Amino acid sequence: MGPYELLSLFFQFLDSFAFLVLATVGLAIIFGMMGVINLAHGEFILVGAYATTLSFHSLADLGVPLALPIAMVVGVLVTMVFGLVLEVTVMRRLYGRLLDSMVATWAISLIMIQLLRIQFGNSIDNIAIPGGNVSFGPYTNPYYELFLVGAAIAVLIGLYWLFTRTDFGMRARATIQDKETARSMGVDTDRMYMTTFVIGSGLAGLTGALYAPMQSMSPEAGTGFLVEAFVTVVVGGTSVIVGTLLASGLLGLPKAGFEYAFNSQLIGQVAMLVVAIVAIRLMPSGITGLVESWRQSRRESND
Amino acid sequence: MTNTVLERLRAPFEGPNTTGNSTAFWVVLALGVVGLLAYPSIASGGAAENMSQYLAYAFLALSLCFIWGYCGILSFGQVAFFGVAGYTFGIVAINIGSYTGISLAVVVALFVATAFAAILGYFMFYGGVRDVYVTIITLVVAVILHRFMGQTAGSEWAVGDARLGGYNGMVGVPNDAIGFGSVGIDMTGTGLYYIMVGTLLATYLGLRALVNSQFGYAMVATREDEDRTAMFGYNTEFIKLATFTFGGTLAGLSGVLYMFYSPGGYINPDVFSVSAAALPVIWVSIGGRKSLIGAISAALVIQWFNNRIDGWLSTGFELPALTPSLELTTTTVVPGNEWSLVIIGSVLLFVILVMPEGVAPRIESTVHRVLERLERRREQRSQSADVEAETETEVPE
Amino acid sequence: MATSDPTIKTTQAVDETGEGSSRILQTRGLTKRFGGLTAIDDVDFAVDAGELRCLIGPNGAGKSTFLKLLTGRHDPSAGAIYYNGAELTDLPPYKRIDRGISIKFQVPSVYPDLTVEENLRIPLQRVASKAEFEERTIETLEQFDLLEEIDTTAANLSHGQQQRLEIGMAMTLEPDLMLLDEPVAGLSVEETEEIAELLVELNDEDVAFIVIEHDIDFVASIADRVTVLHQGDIFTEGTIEDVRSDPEVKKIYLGEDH
Repeated sequence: MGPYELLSLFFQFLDSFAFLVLATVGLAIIFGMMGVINLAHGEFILVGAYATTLSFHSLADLGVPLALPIAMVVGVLVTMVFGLVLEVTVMRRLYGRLLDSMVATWAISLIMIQLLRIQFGNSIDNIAIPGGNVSFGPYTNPYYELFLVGAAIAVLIGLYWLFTRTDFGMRARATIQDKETARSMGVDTDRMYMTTFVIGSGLAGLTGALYAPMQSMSPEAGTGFLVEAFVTVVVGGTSVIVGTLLASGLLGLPKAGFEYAFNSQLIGQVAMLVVAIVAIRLMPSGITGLVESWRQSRRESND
Repeated sequence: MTNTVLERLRAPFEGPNTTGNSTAFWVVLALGVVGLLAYPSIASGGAAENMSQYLAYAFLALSLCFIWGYCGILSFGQVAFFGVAGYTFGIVAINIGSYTGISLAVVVALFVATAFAAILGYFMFYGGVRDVYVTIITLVVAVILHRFMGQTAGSEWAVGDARLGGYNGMVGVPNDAIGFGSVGIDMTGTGLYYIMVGTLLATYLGLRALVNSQFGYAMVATREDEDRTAMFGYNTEFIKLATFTFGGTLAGLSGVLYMFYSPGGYINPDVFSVSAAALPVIWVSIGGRKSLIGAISAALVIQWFNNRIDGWLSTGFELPALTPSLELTTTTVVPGNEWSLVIIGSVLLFVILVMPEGVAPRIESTVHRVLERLERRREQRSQSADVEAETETEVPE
Repeated sequence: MATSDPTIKTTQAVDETGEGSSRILQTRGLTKRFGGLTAIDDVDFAVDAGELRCLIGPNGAGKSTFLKLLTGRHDPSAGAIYYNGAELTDLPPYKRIDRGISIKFQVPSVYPDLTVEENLRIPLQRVASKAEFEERTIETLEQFDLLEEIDTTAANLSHGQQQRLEIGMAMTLEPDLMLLDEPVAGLSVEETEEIAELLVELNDEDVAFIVIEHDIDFVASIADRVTVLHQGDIFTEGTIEDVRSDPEVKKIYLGEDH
C-alpha cells in the first residue's frame, strides 16, 4: 500500500467518521437526555435535506447570492419547528415509556416516508457538490468532504461548549443525572426536554442540510441515516459527546477499512453493523455505560 | 353437568394472563372460527387466497405478542426469523422437490429459524443486553440480512439448484403439496386455507395454556421485574432465552406458511426490510401486546384493510359538495392508494397515545363494564320490585 | 473459579471454624473493590443456623454491598462465601436462592402491576405442588395479615402492606437463611412492632436471619447478636448490650444522624 492509497484510506475513514458523527448527534442528545430512541430521526434529517434542497432551488432561480448557506439555515430552522410541533403534540406524552416511544416514533417515520413520497415523488433534484476537488496521485476527493469533517468536529465542540459552559448545559446535566433532584432545585425539566428535543431536531436538520449536496435524497434515504445513527448511539451510550466521538471512531474504522478493501459500500456497512453488535454484547450499556457503571459503583460504595 | 365439563375443558386455557376468560368470549371466538371457516364459501377465490396470506402473518404477530407482551422483550426483528425460515424452506424444497422433500423443508426451516433465534438470544441475554439495546440489535440483524440478501444476485450465490437471486428474489419454490413418498396433502387454495385456520387455532390455544402455566408466570414475573425475579430463584436469562427462541420458532412457522401461500413459490429480501419489520410491531401494538387474540385479529384485520383500502382509495369516494352557485352536488375524491400506509401509521400513533394497552384489552374492559352495569341495574330492579311487592302487601293492612 | 469441589470446601470450612456443623453462612476474606475504592475489605463473617443477626454501621460502612455479595448481585474481588459448608462464591443468584437463601430488598420490590395473589404465586409455584397451592396461599396471606387484599393490585397497597407482602413472598421459599435490608424503614411504630414480632416468630421456626437496620431499638428487640460494620470491615461483634456500651462504637457513629 503506497502513500496515496494510505491517504485515500484515511480520507475514507474521515468521511465515515464525519458521517457517523453528524448522523448521530441529534439522536444522541435526545437519547442522552430522555432515554428515547427517536426512530423517526432519519426522517427528521430528510426534513432538513428536503427543506434545504427545495429552498436552494427557489433561491437560485431568483438569483439570490449565497443561496446554499441560506438554504441550509432554512433547512435547520424548518426541522426545529417540525421537532417542536412533534414534541408538543406527541413526544411529551411518551417520556418514561421507552418502548412505547420507540413504537410511536416508528409510526411517525412510516407516515413521513409516505407523505414525502406523495408530495415530492421518489426523488428530488440534487444540489451539485460545491467547491472543487483535491487530487493526490490517481485519487480525487471533493473539498466539501473535508468541510463536512470540519463541520462534524465543530458540532462536537459546540455541544461541549453548550453542555459545560452555558446555563442550559448545567441544568441539562443536572436533569440527566437526577431528574427529581434537578426539579427540586428549580429546574423546569419539562422545558428542558422540550428544548433538548428541539436542539436534537435542529442537529438532525443540520445533517440533512449538509448532506443535501452529497446524496440523492429520496423518501427511503432516512432509513440509511437512522440505522447508522442508532447503532452509533447504542454503542456510544448515553454520554452525548464522548459516546458519539468514541463510537464514531470505533465504527468508522471497520466501515472505512472494509469499504476500501472490498471496494463495496455494502460490505463496509455490514462490517460496521457486525462490529456494533459485538460491541453492544461486550458493553451492554455502551462505551459510556462502562464509565457510568464504574461511577455508580463508587456511589454505591459510599451509601 | 355439561357446564362443569365445559369449565374443566376451559380451565387450562384460562387465567389472569390472558384476556377473555368468560363464556361470552369463548362463544365469540367460536363464532369467529366459524366465520373464518365459512369465508372461502362466501368470498371470492382471490379474497380467500389473500386471507391465507394474512393467516400466515398471524403467526408472526403471535410470535411478537408472546415475547413482548408476556416477557417484555421488544424485538423489531421478528421478520428475520420469518425470512430465514422462508429462504431455508426454498433452498431445501428446490433441491429435493418431492413431497418428502417439502416435508423435510418444513422441518429444516423451522429448525434453522429456531436455532438462529437461540444463538442470537444466547448472545444477547447471557451477555447482559437489555431493553432498548435488544430492540436495536434485533432490528440491525434484519437490516444486515436485508442488505446481505440484496447483493446475492450473482450466479455464485446459489445453494445447490437454489439461486438466491438478490433483490429479484428466489423463485419457483415447490409448495403445492406436503407428504411422504407418493402420498401428498394438497397445500393450495382452500385446502391450504383450512390447514392454516386449524394450525392457527391450535397454536393460539397452546399459547393460552402456556402463558397461564407456571412458565407463563415466570415470563410475566421476568417482564415485570427481572432482578427481583432472579431473587426468587428463577433463572431469568434462561427464561428470556427460551421465550425468545420459541418466538423464533413461531416466526419461522409464519415464514414457512407464507411460502406455501406464496404464488409461484417466491420470496425476496424485502421480507427483511425495515417496512416489513414494522408490520408485526403495528399489529401487536394496535391489537394489544398482552392479548394473543388481539394480535391475531389485528394482523388479519389490518392486512385485509390495507388491501381493501388500496382499492377504495384508488377508485375514490363520492363526497357532498357545493357548486359556486351554492347548489348541493357530489364530487369524487380520489386520494390514491399510497395513503393507506399513512392511515395505518396514524392509527398506530393514535393507539399508542390513547390506549397504550391496545384495542383488544380496551374492548374487553368495556364489555366487562357494560355487563357489570347491566347486572347492577338488574339487581336494583329486582330490589325495587321486592320493595314494591312488600309495599303492595302492606297496603291492604 | 479455583475449585468447585464442595467436599474439599466443607472440610476446609469446618477446619477453620472448629464448629462447622452449626455455621450456616461464612465468608472468608471477602473483598469488593470498585475502581480504587474498597467497599468491603477482607471480611470474615459467620452466622449460625437459626441465629438472628443484625448488621449495623454508619452510612457508607458497606452493609448493602455486603448483602449484594451474598446474593450474587455483585461479584467479589477476592475471598469466598460458604453456605452450609459448600462454596457458593461463583454461583449465579438464582442458584443461591435454590440452596435456601432468600432476600428482601431495601425498597419494597413487589410486582406493582400484579395482584397480591399473583405476586405470591411467583415464589410459591416454585416450591408448592398444585394440590397444596391454594391452601398455602391462604395460609401465607393470613400469617402476613393480607388475606383481605388478595385481589388488590400491589401498587395500591400501603407501604407497610408492601413490606409484609415482600417478606411473605421471600419466606414462601422456606429459606434457611433470610436476608433483610432495612425491613422497617419508613414504617410506623405499630408496623415496626408487628414486623419485629413476625421476625421473632419466624426465627423460632429455625430460620436464620441477617438484618440490616438503622433503628437501634428495633435491633435491640430482635437480635441475638449484632455485628458492627465500619469502613468495609467488621468493627466489633457481640450482644446488643456489648455493642451499645462500647464507647468506640459510639465514636464511629458520631457525626452520623444517630
